[in-house]
Amino acid sequence: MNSTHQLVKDCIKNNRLAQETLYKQYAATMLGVCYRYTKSIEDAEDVLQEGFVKVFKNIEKFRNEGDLGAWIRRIMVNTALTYLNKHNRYKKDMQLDDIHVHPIADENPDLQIETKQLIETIRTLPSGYQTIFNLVAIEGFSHVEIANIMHVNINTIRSQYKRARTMIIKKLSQNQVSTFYNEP
Amino acid sequence: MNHNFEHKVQQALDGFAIEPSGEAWKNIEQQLPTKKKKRFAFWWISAAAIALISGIHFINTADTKMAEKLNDKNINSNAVTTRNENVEIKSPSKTNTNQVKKTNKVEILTDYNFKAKDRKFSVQKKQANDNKNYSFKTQKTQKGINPNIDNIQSNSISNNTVKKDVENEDVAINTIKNTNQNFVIIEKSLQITNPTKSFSLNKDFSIKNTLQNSIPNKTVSTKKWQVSLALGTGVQQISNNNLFINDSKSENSTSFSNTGGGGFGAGGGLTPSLSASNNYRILPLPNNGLNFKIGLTATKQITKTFAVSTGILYQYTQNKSLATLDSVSRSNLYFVEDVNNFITNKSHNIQLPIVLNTNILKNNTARFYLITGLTANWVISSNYLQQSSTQNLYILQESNYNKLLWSMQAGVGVNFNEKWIGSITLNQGLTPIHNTGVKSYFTSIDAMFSIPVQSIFKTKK
Repeated sequence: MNSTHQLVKDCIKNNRLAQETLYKQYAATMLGVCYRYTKSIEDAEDVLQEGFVKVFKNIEKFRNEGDLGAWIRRIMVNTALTYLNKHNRYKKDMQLDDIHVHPIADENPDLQIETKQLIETIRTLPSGYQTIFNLVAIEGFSHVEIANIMHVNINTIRSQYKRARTMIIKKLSQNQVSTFYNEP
Repeated sequence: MNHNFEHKVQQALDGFAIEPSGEAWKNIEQQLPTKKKKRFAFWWISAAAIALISGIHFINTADTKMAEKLNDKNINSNAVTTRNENVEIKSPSKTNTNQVKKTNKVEILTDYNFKAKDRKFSVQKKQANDNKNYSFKTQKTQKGINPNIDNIQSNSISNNTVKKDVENEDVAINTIKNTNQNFVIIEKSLQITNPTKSFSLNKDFSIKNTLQNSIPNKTVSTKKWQVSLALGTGVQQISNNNLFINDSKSENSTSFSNTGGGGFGAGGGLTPSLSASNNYRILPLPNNGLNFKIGLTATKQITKTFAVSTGILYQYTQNKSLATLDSVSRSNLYFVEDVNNFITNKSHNIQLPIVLNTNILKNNTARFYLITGLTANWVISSNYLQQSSTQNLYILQESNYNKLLWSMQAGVGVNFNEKWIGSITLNQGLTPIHNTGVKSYFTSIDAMFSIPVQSIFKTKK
């Protein structure tokens, strides 16, 4: 019996220490995930808490064949989507197709992406764009999956992802230039 | 589509983490359900319900089976003295009172505390030369059990006749064939019939014809305590017997070692959890063990169906923990984890069981019953491994708990003619171990063997 298996077993029994152990093991990473979907750290913590409650209430459904971290992460993403939907965040932004974004010359620029900068850039996007970018670029969801999750037309997803991607590349590129000039 | 950018994004975010505030866990904890009710509660409730239903059913359907068995034994025993009191039959018929008195001696034996309330007996006077000869027939008025009076020995007299109640063949049909014959009928209501009139008695009573043989004036009373010498053993499993290990504590550099090469998974199939965060691990201790017990039990039959049992028992339990003695310091024994070696966790207890026995089945040799009860378990002493507050070592804690823990039990028992008693019970309850901060509980299957003390003395005689 491996360690994760034992930990899950103890969590199923509602063993508080085991639950805390599992929480401590994954909380920081999962807050990083939640943070990408929200606009404030408070919102992210709300999602994290809601997500972990779901994790513990449903942990008996976890089959030990898979990766526990991936399972928890999926729950966090779903919780974040529910949270955003509940607070009507991304629905509004679905109407932002008229945002004018200049196309960029290079689809895959040679950027040096710094984590913190990337995170903050993602979070400056309108919620809908932010969500779609997270789901496609980071979680690896297909457009069809996201269309089903968000109940939005697939073409909207496709175009919005393209726009979000372009916006992020632009912002990252600008930051790199400014950083270059600001360097002593 | 070239995913160069996406790949870079994923790489950049790989391992990105933000430490949540301390409040987050507290908020989560508040929303979590409290510890699930253990599954065994369901079994206990089921067992109790079955016992109750069986008991009620037993009361309603079976009547004097057990008591009659006892009575039969007494009838056959010549050792029992007789009482030769003339009957006092309060008869509605004046005319027949004398006649009955003249020809019979009826003894009211109030010692019999069992009642065959669902049957009616009649005793019919035979018109024969010898007016002391009678036949009687039983009449079954409801579902019931035949009072076994076939055991009455008879010396036949030729001119007696046998009356049979052909309508109720499943009921004993008996004839008193001899004036020297004793017979016993235990009934709440007896109807004595002669050619002209009948009498009724509304008490439990015995009719005795003449004097010689074995009408007991005293039955084996179910109201007495039966004291037994009890011996038992069982296997037990302890749940939640985990050590929650804080690895951040400083290690004893000279002695701390993880035998088995960086983990504990190598030996005996005992794999600790290395599941927690960097600083915590859960080490599940071996949780199987044995228990032995000895003591005295006392049982009292409170009704035909129910008996209560109590007693005082000494119990010794032992379980094993994986560890090796490392050092002795300030009277404490320090251990290190070692999958290849074990130390024994022991506990000494005094138990006081409070048990309800419900008869469910009986045949000629044995009586079976359900057991449900509680046991007060006074832990005299117990030892267990507890992590040192300063080092990554474990101290064998041994303390006088003087602590009362409760356990529950359910099972079945069998009583072989009051000579020896066996039982198998499933027990669950708390243990004094609390390594993880979560109370541990044990489940055990115990077998008990008891010999009534009276039976021992009789054997010796």
